[in-house]
Amino acid sequence: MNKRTFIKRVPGGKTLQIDIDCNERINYVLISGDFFAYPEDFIDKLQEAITGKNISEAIKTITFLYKKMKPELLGISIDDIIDVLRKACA
Amino acid sequence: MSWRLIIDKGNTHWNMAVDEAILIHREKDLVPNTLRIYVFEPSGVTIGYFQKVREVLNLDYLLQNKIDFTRRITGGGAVYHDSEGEITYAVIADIEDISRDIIESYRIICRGIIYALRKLGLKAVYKPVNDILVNNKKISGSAQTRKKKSLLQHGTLMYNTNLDMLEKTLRPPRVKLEDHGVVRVSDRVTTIYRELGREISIDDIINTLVQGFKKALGVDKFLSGNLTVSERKLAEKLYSKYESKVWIYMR
Repeated sequence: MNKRTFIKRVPGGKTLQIDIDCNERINYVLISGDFFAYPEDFIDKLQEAITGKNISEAIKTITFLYKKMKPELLGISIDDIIDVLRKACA
Repeated sequence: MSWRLIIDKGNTHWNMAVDEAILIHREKDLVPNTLRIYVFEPSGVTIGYFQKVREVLNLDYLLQNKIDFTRRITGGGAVYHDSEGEITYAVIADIEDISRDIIESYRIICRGIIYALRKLGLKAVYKPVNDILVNNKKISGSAQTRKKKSLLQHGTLMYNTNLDMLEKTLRPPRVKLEDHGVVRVSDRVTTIYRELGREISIDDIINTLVQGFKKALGVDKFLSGNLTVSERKLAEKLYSKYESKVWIYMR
């Protein structure tokens, strides 16, 4: 496993950390930080849902899950998560 | 509306188990809205639901010094709960009695602490979403979780926290420190005693805090109470979760 860590400190917000092993597909991903998510299990479900997918499938999945669960994120945004994932898998 | 008031103390795992047990009971409408004010005895550390233990805590120091730590069900950051320097509060209430809007509900509940700090003579300001500052330094932090009908918001009020211990137990991420423009943890947090330049009794702080919440939450009357038998039983069950490695090292 080739795990790397990406950290984004959202201006005026919280810290988002993504530990990821990504080649053609996302083999492993862990999203962590001091942000808030309502409901909390959105983040766990998102991690599960994108594991095994390539980055473009992963982004589609995130968008779908976000629309379905309508979570409220405080301190980070869904675009921050997508942004860091894109960089990590570039 | 009258609320239940619980003032108690416990260790790290117990305190988190009790907050969750009350929330579950409130969700089922088995208990009234509750303000719990408590102390960590002995001192302990809690981390936010989404935090990585190894990233935010000095595990070597905590294990060597046998300091309890656990993961909260609420998001947010890591906290050092000093048994002789920090008071923790928990508001467990029907969402409709506070606000459906999450940020607004943080603001309303945090106002209770701000009223109390102002009563004590400190110019406290709310920094969205979950901090309260005095002289631009953090004196209180809060974290909220929600079920369908009820919410739990718990948070800290530092009156004499040992800032050296805070710095030894927590590992703030480097990016965060740079963003705050200062290097040491103790430069960005403060305490009531430090800001007032004198000590006041814990009872006085607790009484002022209760009055602050009374005003902020529109409570007519606080009725002193205890956990119900059912809440206590559930807390005892949840205790094992909060001390389990599976829960603590989840991230």
